[in-house]
Amino acid sequence: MSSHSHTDLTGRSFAALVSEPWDFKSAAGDNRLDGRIVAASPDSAKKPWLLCNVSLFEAGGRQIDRVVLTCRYWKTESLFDDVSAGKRVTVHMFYAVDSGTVDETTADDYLDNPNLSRFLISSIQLQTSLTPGG
Amino acid sequence: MKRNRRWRGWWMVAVAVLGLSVVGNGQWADWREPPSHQTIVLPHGPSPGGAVASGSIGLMGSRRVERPGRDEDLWPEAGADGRYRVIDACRYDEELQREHELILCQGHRVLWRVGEQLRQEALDSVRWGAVGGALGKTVRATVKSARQVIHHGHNTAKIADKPLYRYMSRAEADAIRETGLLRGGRAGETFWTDSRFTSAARAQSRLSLGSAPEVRMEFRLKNNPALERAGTRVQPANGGTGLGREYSTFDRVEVEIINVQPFTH
Repeated sequence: MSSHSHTDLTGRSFAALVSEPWDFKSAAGDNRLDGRIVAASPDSAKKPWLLCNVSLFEAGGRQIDRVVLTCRYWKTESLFDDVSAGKRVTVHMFYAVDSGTVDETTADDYLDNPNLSRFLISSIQLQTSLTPGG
Repeated sequence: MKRNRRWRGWWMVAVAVLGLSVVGNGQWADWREPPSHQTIVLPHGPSPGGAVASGSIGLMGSRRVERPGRDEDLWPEAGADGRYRVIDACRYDEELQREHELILCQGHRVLWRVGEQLRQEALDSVRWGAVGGALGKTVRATVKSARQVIHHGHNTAKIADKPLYRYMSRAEADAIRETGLLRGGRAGETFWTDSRFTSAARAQSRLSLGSAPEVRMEFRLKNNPALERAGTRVQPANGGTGLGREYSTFDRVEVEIINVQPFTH
């Protein structure tokens, strides 16, 4: 059980360093992404996730600006607690490869589904101040 | 025979001494005449010692003494061991009583000083114990840090000794050949493993890679990067089995390439 409320993270901005693929590029620069958390998983979700808007990048001929984050490591990290605490957390960033939209209702479907999604491996860390706007 | 004579001689001497002492102070003379009217004389209140003391006083017999003189049998004999003699002496003699009180007072002072000294020593002991505890804590923390450093060094040394692998694209393998750095020295976390997988699909599944690798590079570490992970198991992703062991760092990783094996399947 997380000691932090999921909604505490909503609206928070983060910076990401993308490790895989090794030559990743985005609008934020080489191996970099900027992002903002728009939603957190409900308690009924298969696993904890964070839905985020991110800097535009290209993958498989598609422009991507939304991802779903989950922890990369087995039983060693608590996504909400560690991100809230300002720790650098290594995550899988799932993005859609079909024509569908990733949102709060479909996020669970895009996790761990090779037919619908691919993922980046990156480490994220919350920025210290809230980003205005939404 | 000689022994009997010697014992007899000792007995004679003992009897003579006893006789002289009895005759000398006269206290024992009274018991030969049973008292007809025993009178208890209590010059300064009741005598301590209860029945023994009063009985001894009562041996004054019929010769009633209202105010016994200093040289008379003023002090009760008390028990056979004379335990009450000093106490009674203090009771009946003011000067002795003052001296006795003075001695007690001095004794109390000595005891007080001893107590104070013990108290001070106890306080010192507590203080030094606290200082020692703090010092011990610091020393323990230092030793622990040193141990961690040694442990970290040991881990890195252990990693450096064993064959290490990174599963990657051909393009990255070329960048490593050029730079001598994993991932071509790009920013971000760099991952590797000590597990040798013989197929691309297996490596992707166990290490939860975003795409199937094209080659397996075996290498040796040339520098000493600070490890973020050391053998941590990864979560399954996108239908893979996961749970592969992974090492990682945010530092640049200098490597000596041992071999590069392309995957055929």
